[in-house]
Amino acid sequence: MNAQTLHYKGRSLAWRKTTSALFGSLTFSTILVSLALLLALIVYILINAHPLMAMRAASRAGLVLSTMVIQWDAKNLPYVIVTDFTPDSVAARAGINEFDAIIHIDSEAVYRSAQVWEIIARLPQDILPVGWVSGDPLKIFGELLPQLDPHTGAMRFVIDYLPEESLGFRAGLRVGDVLVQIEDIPVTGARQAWEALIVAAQKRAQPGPLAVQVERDGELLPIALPAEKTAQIPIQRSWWRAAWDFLASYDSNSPEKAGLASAIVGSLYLVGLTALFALPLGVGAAIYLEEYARRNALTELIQLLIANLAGVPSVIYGIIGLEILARALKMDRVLITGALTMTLLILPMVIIASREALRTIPDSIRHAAYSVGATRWQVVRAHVLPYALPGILTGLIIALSRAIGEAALLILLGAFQYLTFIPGLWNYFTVIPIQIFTWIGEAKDGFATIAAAAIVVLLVVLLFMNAFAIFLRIRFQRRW
Amino acid sequence: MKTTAPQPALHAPPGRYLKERLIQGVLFACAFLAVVVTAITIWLFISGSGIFFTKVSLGEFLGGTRWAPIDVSTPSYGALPLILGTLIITGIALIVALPIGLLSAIYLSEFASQRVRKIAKPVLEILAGIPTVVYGYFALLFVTPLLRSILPEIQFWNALSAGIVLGIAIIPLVSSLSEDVIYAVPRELREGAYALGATRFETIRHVVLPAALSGIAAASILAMSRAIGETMIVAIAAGRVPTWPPDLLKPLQTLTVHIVNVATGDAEAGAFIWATIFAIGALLFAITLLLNIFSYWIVRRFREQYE
Repeated sequence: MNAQTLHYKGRSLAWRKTTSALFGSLTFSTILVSLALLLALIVYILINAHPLMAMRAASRAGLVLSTMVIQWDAKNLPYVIVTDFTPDSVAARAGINEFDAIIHIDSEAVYRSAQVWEIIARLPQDILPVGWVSGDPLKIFGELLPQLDPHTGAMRFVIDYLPEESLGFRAGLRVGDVLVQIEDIPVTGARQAWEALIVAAQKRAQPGPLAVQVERDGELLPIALPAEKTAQIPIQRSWWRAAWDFLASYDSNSPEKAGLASAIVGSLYLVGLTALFALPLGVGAAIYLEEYARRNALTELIQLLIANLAGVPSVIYGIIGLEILARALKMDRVLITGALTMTLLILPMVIIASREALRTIPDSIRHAAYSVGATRWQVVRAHVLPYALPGILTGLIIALSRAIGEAALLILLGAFQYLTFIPGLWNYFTVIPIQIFTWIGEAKDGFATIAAAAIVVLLVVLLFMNAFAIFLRIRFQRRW
Repeated sequence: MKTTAPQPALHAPPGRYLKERLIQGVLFACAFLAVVVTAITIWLFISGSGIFFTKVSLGEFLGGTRWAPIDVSTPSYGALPLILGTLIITGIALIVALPIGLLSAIYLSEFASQRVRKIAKPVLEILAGIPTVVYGYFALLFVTPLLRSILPEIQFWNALSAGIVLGIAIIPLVSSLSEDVIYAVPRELREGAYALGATRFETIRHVVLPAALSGIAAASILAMSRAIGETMIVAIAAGRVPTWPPDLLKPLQTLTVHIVNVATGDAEAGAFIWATIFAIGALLFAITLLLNIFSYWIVRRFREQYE
């Protein structure tokens, strides 16, 4: 037979074969899309978590930074100051004080704290060359007094008081000088003088004296003001230290100092308690439905309800837990309430998985036990359950890995907390996914980084849980 | 009942039957918990919504276009922005998830060799196991900037990226549920089609898919119900502000996100705002319950029996 005659709906065989092959490739490409998405997600999270090491190195050296903004000519000019000051840190010993402005790192002008971390990450050596300007204008210019210029009537700023140990005095400024401009930026206020200093210093490629113009006795006088101080600050760049610091510290308003300790303990407690509650309840229900229940309307109803409860959104469970347990039963929004509510969420999953595990045990096992006079419970406890246990535990772990990533339910149960302690059973608490949610909502530079780092922690925990489930399945599950 | 109980003539130790009955009772109680939880849920939502509907009419709730429950001077409880917002996000998610999920299922069931299956299935399972906060992060900080390079006017919080990422999150659900039903279509049907000279594509298009249609429909409805109930991705990436009329490129709010807003807000217990989460929760519960039952019904009603 000629192949060309194999038409179907007017299409030649060649066309039909090509279509079929193309369709096959199309279906395969969707798998590639999923794979690409998974890789993109993981790579993106890792890239975002990467600055953590530099952040931790800086904060350990005492450089806890905030990005501030100067309003200048209707523009926003960012600059970096030191906040969350630690008096005995390496940076403090080098002379850096609270609210000092960091201007240069490794001779590069810095505008945002994220940029500082980038530079730290790519420095070839463990010494950080820092250039900074004191955050206290008094130590630079002394006190400035606004004054009307007698000739032009314009506002100008006169040095009213200048301590002898101030930078300005040592550079040659004296009381009575009118501060005209710093580099090419005119001085338009007492606070603005300091901000002009920051902007002028940022513009310089290297730390060095700034050209300040003052008017003394009616004459313009140039003064070189070495406003920027420099120091070589030793830093410890270690991933291990950074990871440990991150895992072991509490939440903070500074992303460099914020850690996951409360959230990790909260998550562990929550998962442990949930397992403790869900295992007996779930296995009990599964045993009843598989081994005891008669096929009647009530059993049918229970099965239908379990299937439906498995599909109820987790926020709904959150509302139930909040209203019934936390409010009606006055348990408050504490860890144990969270665990009980979480139990309700995963119970249908545990029941369904346990029933499947029980169903794989052949009846011959049960018959053998009955034939030697065992009661039904003895059969279940001594014969069916031990064989079904690996399957049940696998199902439980998979359900728990859903619980450990669950955030919506716990937001309702008050896990939305700023905690700086390790939670106990009857304490307010927080968990890793909620901590991630809170950090995503913070606008400050660096919170996206620690959110990504917390995601890495969460994914690693999930990886271990799933690996353990697979191990159980391979090691203990038997085929009948 | 799988087996017959042992005969009492065996002279069991005293108390054994009592113990057996007791254990059976405890096990029954565990199973009966499902009934209790459902009953409590329904009662809770009915009584809680009662408080809400004494103040707000059902017409205003379902027909009003302004959702401003925390507006002190002129509060307004029209849930239409939330309902439409939920539908829009769900719609985008399904547009992403259904084709990709279904084609993946067809690939896994009809084309893949055992070796490829062994790699492809875990990929989908990992995607399914990723917590939704992680997807939210991905949507907000990766997908939105990516979309901005195509649509410069897109806002930082927007419905589009939340919907797309929600779609990605439910791809594994669609694919695993559909794969089960496609795989369950008996070999004989395919072999019959091949024997008539059909190509693989024709077999799938005219034989396998029609046979699996009810299951695929049920899977799609379950995916829809899951998308409607999804909270974190939307709370993170879609903003938390109701807009009317909804716009793909602007922030919007869904039913679930309103509940999160109330929970993370600073309203005191007993404030009227808490009553709104019952009305919204009841709506959400009713929608997802109906969809779940509908999908259950489709499977039962249209299932092809092959034995």
